[in-house]
Amino acid sequence: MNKQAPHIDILVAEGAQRLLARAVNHYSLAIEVLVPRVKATLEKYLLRDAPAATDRVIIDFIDQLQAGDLCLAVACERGDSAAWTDLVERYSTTVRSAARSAAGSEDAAEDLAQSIWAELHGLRLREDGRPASKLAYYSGRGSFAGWLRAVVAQLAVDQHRKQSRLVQAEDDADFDRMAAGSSDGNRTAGMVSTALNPENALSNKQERIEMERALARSIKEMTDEDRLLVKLYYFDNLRLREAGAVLGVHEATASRRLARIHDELRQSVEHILTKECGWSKPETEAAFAEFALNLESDVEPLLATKVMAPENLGRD
Amino acid sequence: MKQPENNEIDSLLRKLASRQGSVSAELNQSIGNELSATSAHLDADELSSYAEGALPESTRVRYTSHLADCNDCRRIVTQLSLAFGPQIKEPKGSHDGATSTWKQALMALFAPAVLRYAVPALTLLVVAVAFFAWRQQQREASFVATRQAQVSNDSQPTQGNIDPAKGNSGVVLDAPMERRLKTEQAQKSSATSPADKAGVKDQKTAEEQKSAETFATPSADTSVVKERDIPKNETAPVSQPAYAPEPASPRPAKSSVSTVAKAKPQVEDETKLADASAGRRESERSRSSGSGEVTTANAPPAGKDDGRQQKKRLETRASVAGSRADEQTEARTVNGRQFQRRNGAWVDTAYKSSAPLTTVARGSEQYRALIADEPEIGVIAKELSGDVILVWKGRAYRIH
Repeated sequence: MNKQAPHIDILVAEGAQRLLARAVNHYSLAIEVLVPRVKATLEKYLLRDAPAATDRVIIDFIDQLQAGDLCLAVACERGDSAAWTDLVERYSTTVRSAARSAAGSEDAAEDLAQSIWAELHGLRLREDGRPASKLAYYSGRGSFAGWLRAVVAQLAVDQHRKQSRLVQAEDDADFDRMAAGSSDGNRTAGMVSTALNPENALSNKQERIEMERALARSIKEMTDEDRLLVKLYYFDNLRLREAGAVLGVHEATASRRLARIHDELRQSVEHILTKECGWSKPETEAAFAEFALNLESDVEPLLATKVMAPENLGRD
Repeated sequence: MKQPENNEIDSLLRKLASRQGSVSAELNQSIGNELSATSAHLDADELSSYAEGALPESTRVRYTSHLADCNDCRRIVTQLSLAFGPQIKEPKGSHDGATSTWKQALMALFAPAVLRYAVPALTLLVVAVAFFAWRQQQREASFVATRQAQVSNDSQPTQGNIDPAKGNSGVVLDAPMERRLKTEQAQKSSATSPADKAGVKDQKTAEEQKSAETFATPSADTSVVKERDIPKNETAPVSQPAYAPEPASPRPAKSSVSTVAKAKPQVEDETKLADASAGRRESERSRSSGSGEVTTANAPPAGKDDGRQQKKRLETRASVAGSRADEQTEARTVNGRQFQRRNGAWVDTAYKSSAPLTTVARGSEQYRALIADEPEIGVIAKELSGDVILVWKGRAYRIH
């Protein structure tokens, strides 16, 4: 890559020149200002995973950058007032809309929007004292509006995490009081068992745990694309069309993939249970049928084995 | 794989997902949820680029691995993707700048989803085109048939137009008259060869000679249409009515077959007459000068083609012999006027040869003006085909 660096610099400079020409409003940016940004984007998104990319690929990559949005972001970062005016005029609605979607209330949305503008203006200072504007992280690869929404969503998650940690800390204290106040009689207060036959319940529980582990392991061993689909569809409760949209495929394609995933998971779980856990094939098939229907009935014994946080209760 | 087995896996996955908050941390970790706090999340630019499908394939694969295991980043990407809209893209083997190959384009064209609608649509199109082509053929065939019928109708005698129910004609046609009319029509429509024309013109000249004795023409001829010139050396400067029938066709009409058969006994007599007329004609030819097409056309080199022409004349005679015999006695009544067939023309019985004769050609301006003033003349002219001599309001008209 070092050998190609001068050559890549030439390609970047030429690409930046074309980018300035493509931009509807380049806010009088000099090419010297744009070249480092373009090069950083190139290294982050292309050369890191494809260091031997051809010239044609590099040229196409640069030509696919959002020229107008990138010039706007760079100009705003440099304090161009005209650029800021344009940014506020064009994207204040986007910020407000994204904040409303991420926040639970109108007040929270307003606070979130204000935080976003502060982040964009770089009111926070970095370690070196320079303003840390979020605009510096916009690469021009995606649209500026999409980037703004992502910034709002991330900020909302960060704020939620902070609030969640605070809430969890309080709940932990309650749990400690509960644990300290419990006597031998109360130790089992949270335990509920509906198993009529303790021995069968224990056997079923063991089998279920093994099956769950086999299933979890099979999920983990899937390809990233397949695993993402499983997470989107089953764990995030998305519709197949929505899951396909995230993956960038049609709903029918996602459906076919899911069917293949079912086959592969089944085979993988059967292999693990039969080869590693010593189950027989009939036992495996019977367990599949039984646990697929009756898995919920075993949740309560599992709940009895550990103290659950209040927010996790009721998810079943 | 069987559907029930797929359903079992589906059910297991759903239950596992619904319990993800309650399972042990170990299980969560094994599934891959909740990356450790030290693992780096995707930044906003990476998330938005991924959601909009703006990443190179190699980079996208790397981020997919993270998203599969990071709930937060995955949820943000989901929100962004749904907000941005579906970005359906084809899987790319390598991001080399080529968006699609001809193979991919061909496969997309023949994709089941496309064929599902394209094949029926194409079938309908083919059926529609075939149907229209067939209809066009039918129309053309019917048009051709109609035209043929019209042509055959035109060749039929106009007597078909006579409506006995109409009072103004009052014509009663008998079978011989019908046959004669048909023969005349056939003769008129089938005259083609110059030789035949020559023969007929000879015949006409002969008949003109005959008619010169019968009809007297006025000195002032107001005819618009030039008729065949009459030999100027005639002592009586009369305009001879060219009422002679058209030259006989070598193939007379069907209706004249019986006429020909009838006329056979008279062929010999006709032959004699033809010889006599030929002799008169030759003498006439020697006297005439500038007599027009008849004379010119009928002036073969002396003695050379007489035999041929005579033969043709005989053939013509044979075909018209029967009709002529009937012509002599044929009579018709049209609009209360009686006409007799004389030498191929319908002659008003009220006509006297001494009366001045005005010649009018059908279709001429004079004719149109005449029938505009006197519509009944038009009716008579329509009823009677060929040359018609009628007397109207004290004036004699020859309509040809």
